[in-house]
Amino acid sequence: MKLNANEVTLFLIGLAVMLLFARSFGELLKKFRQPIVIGEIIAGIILGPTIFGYIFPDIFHNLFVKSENIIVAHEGITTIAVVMLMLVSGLEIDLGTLLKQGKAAVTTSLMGVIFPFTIGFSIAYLFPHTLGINNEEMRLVFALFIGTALSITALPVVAKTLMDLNILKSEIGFLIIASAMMNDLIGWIIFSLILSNISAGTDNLPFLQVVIITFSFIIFFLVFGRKLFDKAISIIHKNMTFPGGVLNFVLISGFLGAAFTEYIGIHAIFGAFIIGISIGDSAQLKENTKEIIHQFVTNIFAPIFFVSIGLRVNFIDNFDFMLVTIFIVLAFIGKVVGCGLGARWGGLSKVDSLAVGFGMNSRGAMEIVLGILALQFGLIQEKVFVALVIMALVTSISSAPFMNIFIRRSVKFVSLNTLINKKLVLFTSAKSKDILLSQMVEKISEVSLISKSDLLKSIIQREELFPTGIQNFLAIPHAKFQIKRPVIAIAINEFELDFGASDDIGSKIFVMIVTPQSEHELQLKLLAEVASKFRNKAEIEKLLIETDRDKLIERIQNLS
Amino acid sequence: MFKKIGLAIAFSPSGINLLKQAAKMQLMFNAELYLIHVGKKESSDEEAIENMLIEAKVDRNNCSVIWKKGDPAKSIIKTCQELDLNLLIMGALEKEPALKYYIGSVARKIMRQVPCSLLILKAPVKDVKTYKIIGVQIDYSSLSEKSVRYSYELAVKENTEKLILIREFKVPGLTITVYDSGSIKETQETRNKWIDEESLKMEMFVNELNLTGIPIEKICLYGKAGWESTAYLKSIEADLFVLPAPKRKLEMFDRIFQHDLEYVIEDLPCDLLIIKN
Repeated sequence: MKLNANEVTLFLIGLAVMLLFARSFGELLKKFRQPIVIGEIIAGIILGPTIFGYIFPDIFHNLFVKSENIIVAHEGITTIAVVMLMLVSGLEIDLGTLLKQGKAAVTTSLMGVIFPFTIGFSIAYLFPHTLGINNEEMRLVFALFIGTALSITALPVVAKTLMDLNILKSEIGFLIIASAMMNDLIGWIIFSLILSNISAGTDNLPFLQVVIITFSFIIFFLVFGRKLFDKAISIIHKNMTFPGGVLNFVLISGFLGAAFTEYIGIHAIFGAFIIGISIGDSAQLKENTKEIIHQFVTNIFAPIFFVSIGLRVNFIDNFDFMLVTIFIVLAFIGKVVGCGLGARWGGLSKVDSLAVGFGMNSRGAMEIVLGILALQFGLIQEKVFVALVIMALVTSISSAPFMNIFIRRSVKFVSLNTLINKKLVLFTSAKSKDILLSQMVEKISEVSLISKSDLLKSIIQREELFPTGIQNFLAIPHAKFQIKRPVIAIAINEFELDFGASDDIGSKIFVMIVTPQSEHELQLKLLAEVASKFRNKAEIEKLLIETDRDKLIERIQNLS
Repeated sequence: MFKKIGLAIAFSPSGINLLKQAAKMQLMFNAELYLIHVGKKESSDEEAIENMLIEAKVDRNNCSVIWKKGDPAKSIIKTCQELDLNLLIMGALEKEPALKYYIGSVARKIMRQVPCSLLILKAPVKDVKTYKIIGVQIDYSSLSEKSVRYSYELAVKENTEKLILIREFKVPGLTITVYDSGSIKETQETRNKWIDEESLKMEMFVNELNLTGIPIEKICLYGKAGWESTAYLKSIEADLFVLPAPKRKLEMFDRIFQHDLEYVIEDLPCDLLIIKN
């Protein structure tokens, strides 16, 4: 079997069209602050039999389905794409992060699997026809699959959501990422066992043997393989060109791992995923190397894979409203309640636990990979697959707005902008340091019922230790105090006061920060944020002449 | 700071060098020194220790020799508890032929369970070592604050040339956002922004501690904590690395899925001072 010149032409045009659609819709979705992957999936649905193929059936047929050879070539390239996608997904999983995050991450990730899995499994087992079972004989495996499908979380979409909300680098961000990593690993292990059960006794090895080999493979690469890869990368860095040497090594290892798991009957992607985790853990594998690999895979191969999904299935013919609704409801209940409870048991507040629950609800790309494999293995019907894709899109798109509701109420995500209170913005004419501090503390005590004398004592004690003048007319008097939420007061003083600023200029703008005693890092974070915001002297001078309270607040909030 | 110092000593070739270093610390902090030896008390051994004490010029009035039997790690840990020591000193092992120094299984057990701070000497030199370059790992915790204060005090006494505060951090999941930005540049910009943010926090952290007298350098490293600092300290040939003890006891899992400290003790960059509460 060989592609003739005409087929090669059509195949290449097909790929070009897929990439063009993927990029266009990806960029469009990005403009709406949605993950690019969602645009790529939508591009596939539009390009496929659902819309473009329906309107222009001849063009669609010629490009993608007319020739058997082109179909095989497409399958080859999408297999490579999905293997690479799982390889890079594995690269980012750092199990040490999970241990570092401690109890909360363990309870969140475990509950994030157990709860949705139990719900999905029970409902699919008890009402298999409602959930669209394909083959009654496979009831148990079908139920196991639905359980797994509901318990998966998509790390890339989660990372993007956290980044957009500006909480990727935060305690809750770390917790969600660590839990999502563990979630993914457990989910894929369960799924690999389901696949081994389906393929057992056909051309492959017996089930028990596959399970033993699978676990040996996982344990070997997650425990010992990591050290070997670390050594190998160190040698490559010393002896080969960068980044070619490492890039090739990662791909060679990934392909070999994928080939092995395909051989034992649990699909190539699982091997690539485990090898990805094993290599990604190496401290020698620098961040920029990982980024180059990500860029290479996600700009070329991943779009082809995601677009190809839409080409295979007609989303209108297979749309079942009831089924879609059931999956969406189960998905929300499973993750939000499961992870929320896990986070709560791990010691988080109610608000933070809900933020974690919604954060973990993104299914994104991983759900779709899982679904397409199940479809290929004949485990689910096309209408179930369509429902899973829509559920993945809905959970991914809704994750950020839901999280935002709770994040804004969380004590852990305070910033200067969220803490500014109009009642605590003053215009003063104090002629001494003590008078100014006293006036600011008085206002704080009025608003937040803190004892004035105690707070003033703490502020002055801290001031005596080391003056809090920074530069550009700014001083940040501060103290830790027995309060639950931090408080900030701002004063613009008519006269310059000596707060020992490094530029020897007297201070005229004062940001008083009072933080809870238990939050060590919070005080530093707010101090750093204020110092950073007030860096531009020209901007500060504009603030100093502002007389309207609302306008002053707006100006401060707009400082970058 | 360290009023009661213990030294886990054996009759190894490096024993005398360890003792010299311990004697220096004893003098520096005007502390009581306890030599802890696990083994049978023979008269020849007693004589050997006495000779070592003379050679190391140890202040004998402030020094006791404790003889213990049984499992070395357990005996040393128990003795530290009984004597309520502030600091235990011990030596690292040398990995032949790579000239790498690491922590052996006994020392590892002691490190995990000892109730006091711990000074691990990488390769005790013949002449007493001066800590010219000291690195301190910080994470803004109260224990980290204590580590900085202790390091500062030590640096003042040692007339240290450089006291470097090291902040290491990594944001898991960041590289995967390349997928969405589609550009390494945007991810790199985010990373640089966070490094600036951390540098500013370090600045504030040092201000809060109000340490004046010796210049303090601050460096922010992005990457795996422990591994980055080890590589950095090796490159600048630092003499001592001070770090707060892990918040929880390290278990077997931490060796497999490496904890920050594991990267340091696997390939010691220099002497190591682990500060405990």
